[in-house]
This record gives sequence, C-alpha cells and structure tokens, in this order.
Amino acid sequence: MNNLETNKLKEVSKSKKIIKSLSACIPVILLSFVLLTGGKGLPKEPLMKVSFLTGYAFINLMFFLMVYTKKTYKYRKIFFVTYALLFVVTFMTNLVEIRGSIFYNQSTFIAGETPFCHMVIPMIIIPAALTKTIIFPGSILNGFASIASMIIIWLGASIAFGRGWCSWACFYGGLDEGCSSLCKKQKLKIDRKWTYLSFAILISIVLLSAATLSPVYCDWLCPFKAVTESEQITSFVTIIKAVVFYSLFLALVIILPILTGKRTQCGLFCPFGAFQSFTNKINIFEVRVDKSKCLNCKKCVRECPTYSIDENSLLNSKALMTCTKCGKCIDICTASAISYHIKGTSIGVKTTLSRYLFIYPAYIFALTIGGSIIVNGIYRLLKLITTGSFF
Amino acid sequence: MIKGFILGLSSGGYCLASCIPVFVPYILSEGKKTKWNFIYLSKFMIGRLLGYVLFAILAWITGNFIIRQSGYKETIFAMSYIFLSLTLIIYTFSNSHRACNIKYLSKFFNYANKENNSTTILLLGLFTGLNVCPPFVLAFSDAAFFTDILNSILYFIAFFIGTTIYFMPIPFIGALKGKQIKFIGQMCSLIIGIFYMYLGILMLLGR
Amino acid sequence: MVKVKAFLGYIAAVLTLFVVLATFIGNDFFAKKFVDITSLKVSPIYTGGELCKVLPYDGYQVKIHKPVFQGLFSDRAKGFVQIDYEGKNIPAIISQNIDFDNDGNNDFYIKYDPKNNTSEFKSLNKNVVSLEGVYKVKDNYSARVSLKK
Repeated sequence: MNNLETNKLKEVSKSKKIIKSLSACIPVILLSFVLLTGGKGLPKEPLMKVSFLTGYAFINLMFFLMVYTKKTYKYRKIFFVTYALLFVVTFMTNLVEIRGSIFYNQSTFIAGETPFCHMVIPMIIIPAALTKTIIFPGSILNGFASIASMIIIWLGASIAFGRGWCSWACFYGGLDEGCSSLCKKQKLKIDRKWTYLSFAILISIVLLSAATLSPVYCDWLCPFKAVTESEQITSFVTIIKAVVFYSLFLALVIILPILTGKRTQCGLFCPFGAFQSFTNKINIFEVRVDKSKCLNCKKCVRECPTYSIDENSLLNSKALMTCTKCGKCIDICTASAISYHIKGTSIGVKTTLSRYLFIYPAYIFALTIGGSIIVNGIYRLLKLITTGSFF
Repeated sequence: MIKGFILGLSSGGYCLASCIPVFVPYILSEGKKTKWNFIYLSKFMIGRLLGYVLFAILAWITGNFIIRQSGYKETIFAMSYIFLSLTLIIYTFSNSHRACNIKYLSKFFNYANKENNSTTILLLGLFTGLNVCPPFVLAFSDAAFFTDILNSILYFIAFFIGTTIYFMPIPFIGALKGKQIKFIGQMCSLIIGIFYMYLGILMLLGR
Repeated sequence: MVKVKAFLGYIAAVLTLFVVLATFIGNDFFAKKFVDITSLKVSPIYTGGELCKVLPYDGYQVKIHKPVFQGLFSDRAKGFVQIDYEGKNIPAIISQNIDFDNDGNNDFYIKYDPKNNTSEFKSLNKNVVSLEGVYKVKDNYSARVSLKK
C-alpha cells in the first residue's frame, strides 16, 4: 500500500471517528438545548442570542472533544474553569442589579434574599434536626437559589456522582483548579496529612454552627466571599472578617495552587468537600486501578490534584474517598490501568462503557447547573465590551 | 435539690452542645480505647463539677454579700472563655504524653507516669463548667438566694447530675482509631480554641 | 452472584442519568415536597419570628412579631423582638410606644428618623435591654430590640 492510499485510509478512519463521536454527542446536543432554553426557544435579544449560541457551542464542543479524544480531564477542566470565572461575573453583576451592592447587612438577612450556597449544608443539619429551622437568611422556596431547590440539587448530585460534585458541579472549584494549572513545575510540596484539615474544619464548623445557630464557615472562613458577596464593612469585626476572607482566598485559591500545582482549597480546606467525601460511599461510580496493568510508577499519586490517591490506596487498587472523579489519573496513566468503574462490576472490564455511563450524567449535570451561568457570563462580558457597562 | 436536678436534665442537651466542641476534639486527639475515654470523661466531669461548685459558691457570695453587678459576671465568663481557648490552643501544639507543667497542682503532676495528664482535661472541664446557658443562669439565680452555702453547693451538684446523663455516649467516639483521627482532633482544638478566644475577647470588650 | 451484581450496577449507572434529569426538571416539585415533608422554615433569628399582631394606621401598618429566644435545645437568655413598619405613608419620623407582650403596659419607646438615620430609645420594661438597630428592608423599616429573660 503506498503513502497516498495510507493517508486516504487515515482520513476515512478519522472521518468515521468524527461521525461516531458526533453521534455519541447527539443526546447531549439536544438535551443541552432544551435545558438551557427551558423549552422556550432561542432568546430574542440579539446580544443574548449571540451569548447563548456561543455558550451552547462551547459547552457542546467540550463534550465532543471529551468523546473524540477519549480524554476527560483536559476538557472537563476547560469547562470547569470557564464556568467558575463566569460564575463570579454573573453572580456579582446580578447582585448589583438586584440589590445595588455585593455587600450584605442585616437588612439583607431580614429580607430573606441571600442565595443559598451548598457550602452551608453541613452546618444546617443539626439545627434543622433539633429546631426544625434552617439557620440561613434565605428563602425556603422562592427566588434565586432558594434553600429547598439547592438542597434538591445537592441530593441529586450526591446520588449521581458523590464527591464528583467538586469536579463537575461546584461553581467555586474551577477557580483553584485554574490556578493550579498555571505553573507546570511544582515549587512547593505539602505533606498529605494536611488533607485531614478539611475534616477538622468540617467537625468544628458543624459543632460551632449548632452551638451559635449561625453558619460559622460563611461568617468567618469562606475564601469565596472575596469573589461573591460579603458583609458590609461597618465595624472592627467586619474588617477582621474581610481580612480573613481575602487572605484565605489569596493563599488557598491563588498562591498555593500555583506553587503546588494542586487544588489546595478543595483538597486541604473545604469542609463541604470533606462532607461530600462520605457520599462517595453510596455512589455507584468510583475510580479503580487494574493491578494487572498497573506499572507502579506512582504518577497518579504525584499528579492527583486533591491528594486522593496514595500508596496504600494503590495497593487496594482504588482512590481514596476524597476522590472528586476529575479524570486526571485516568488520562495520565501510561498503562491505562485506571478507569471509571461501576461498583459491582469487574475492574478493568468494559471501561469505555463505564466511562460513558459516568460522563454522560456528570456532564449533563454540569451543563445544566453551569450552562446558564456561562451564557449569562458571556452576555455580561459582551455587554461590557459593546456598551462599557455590565448592565 | 430536685429543681436543680430537673434544670440539669433540661439543660443537659445544651451543655452537651457547648461542651462537645471542647471535649470531642480532646477525645479524638487522644486516640484511646473506650475504657480510657470513660476515664477521660470522668476527669472532664470532675472538672465540670468543680466549675459548678465554684459557681455555686460565687452565686451564694453574690446573693449574700456582693451587690450584683453585671460587669463581674461578664468578666468572669470572658476570662473563662479566654483561658479555655488558651488551654485548647496550647494542647494542640503540645505532645499529650508529656508531663504537665503546672507546678502548683503537684497532686496531678507525676513524672513517673507520663500517661497522667489530668490537669489539661480537668482545666477543660472546669472552664467549660463556667459556661452560661439559660437553665444555668436560672440555677445561678436560685442558688444565690440560699442563705446556707452548703445548699447552694448541693443545688449545683444536683444540676450537674442532671446534665451528666447526656455525656455517656461520648467515650465511644474513642473507638475510631488512627493517627488521622488524632490529627483531626488537634486541628479541631485549634479552630475551636481560636473561636472561644474571639468570644472571650468580645465579651471582655463589652460587645 | 457476580453477574447479578454487575447487572444491578449497570442498571444503577443508567438510572443515574434519570436522577440527574429529574433533579432539574422536577426541581420545583421535589423542593415543594421536601418542604412539605420536613416542615422546615427559615430560623426566626433571620425572619424576625412569627407575627403577633398588626396595628393599622393611616397609610401604613405596624407589625409586631413574637419575641425570639431561639436556642438549640431550649430558649436562650437573650433574644429580640422585631417591629416592622410597612406601607406607602410611613411617617417621616417614626415615634411610638410599643407593647409587644399584650399585657396592656408599654414595653419600650422608639423614635427613628430615617433621613438622618438617628434613633432614640427608652426601655419601659426590665426585660427590654436596648435597640439593636433599625433596618431598611426594601421600602419598609424593621426595628430589632434586644430582650432578656
């Protein structure tokens, strides 16, 4: 066979691969259109239409590339980081439009307008069980991000993919994931015992929130207050709080991820992540290592962004319960020994099927929760470019 | 006395809510078996009882000798919180098997037995015992009006017995083993210590 | 047994997709069901507590809430009571005596000037401590008064 024929064969095979991948994407292409439009059709305003089409194309392109290249991590990361950045834009501009400011105070609490964040969930459980009330100044059913609707979303995610929330749904995770990818060389190493800090923070905030009947993590420790909403600075205490929030954000979301190449906020600090680790126990999907193929090079141990594989877990041919199912270890394993695995099935068998059965619901969840944020974020940015204002 | 016991029963859950942030980190970070945790629980309870007895005496003195000024009460609680938080923070960074350094409490200071760190847990119990909760304030008010100091003390002992019932399950947390649990417990001690320190300072500043 | 486990595993994995779709498509329905089953409400510490009485005036109304002493297991020693001033014709200066416990005696006097954000407060009941603050909530005002038991 000469070179011309070989090239032609390669092209035909490539075309077949593209068509095959596109066909596999059809359900997501259709579902994403329905979910993003809410069944109402394309937006009428021209700028919003452009934003929608751009966002829609981006979302489906990422999924297509995930299917076509058979690499999950890279394209999931691009989606996730974009989603997190545009969340900051969307959230803050929405707050200014509705409330006039990104700052909240007692008036905001009394009005019951604070959007409910998933981070609060561990803190409300004990008070809810004992007092039948939610210690959060939001709305139970009405408005944007109402308490009940966010709890249902969290429940659905926990059943569907456990701590996969942290790599597929969380609107903050992309921030430190993005920073962790900025520097290729690891400049700082953190002892993995510090991953237990997140569990300590979880226990502390759950107990203190129950004792004080207020969400202590939100009041004092959340680094993402720096890029969402925070308390109006009216006293010495609120100054201290602002210093804490901005310092934690700088350290855990920007500096340490750049230096370590790891998701330090998610892996070392976030109490919700620690809480969500327990849902990995009930979730049907997990990451497993096929020992028969494993070369024991420990690349996965070094590269895992959330310190979720260590030598002991490798011996047990699985990731730790803190695994966020980001797909990095699966993609970098040179022996293709690591895969998404469905509990109850044999390890290393039908890994492609298991992968598809995981990434379909995971990506659909991600695009549903993140898709409108991406579209709105693009809209705000286009508005800024075209009119000089976000509004 | 029955009123004291009933008040203790009604507040026991609340006491648990305020004591658990202090006690659970200690239990976890010691990493001992259930039997040892019962021993620690007993020492913690003795510390709390001492706190209650001191409070009973204070209540009696307040009711019978000192004109009640809210400043004293606030200052005592503030100092109690600050000392509690210091104890927690120091414990976080100390090796729990080292002999205690507080010389004047020589009864509990034993070079030969390095396992004996009664002072830390007694102090934790003592300062937690000085914690305010609504039934506790009621008990204080009641005890202040006893003319006999023994009645005040007995009243608070009854209160203490009422609260003790809720603490029984705690030692079983010790069944969880591992260096990780110990590390988590130490980190909890630090975080909760910082929080109580903040509360104590705020109280001292009168906010 | 191994085959049964594998079969069940694949079924559960496929059902995950439906869980995800149901989470979003049925979100309103499930949220309402969740609230109905659990009967959860937002803590009165934030909402101001249940409404006790409404005093109608010309063009506005004064809503007095029940005192809030919420604690984890039992009531706390310190709490507050919230008074809402709602309506289109709220007076330029709010000034009145409030009886929140319906015992026929006024419990405190409050005077508030929204323009200058200045207030005067006088406690007429030993359980009333101080004025926590007056807050503008949309076009209305809410005053919170600290109480003790």
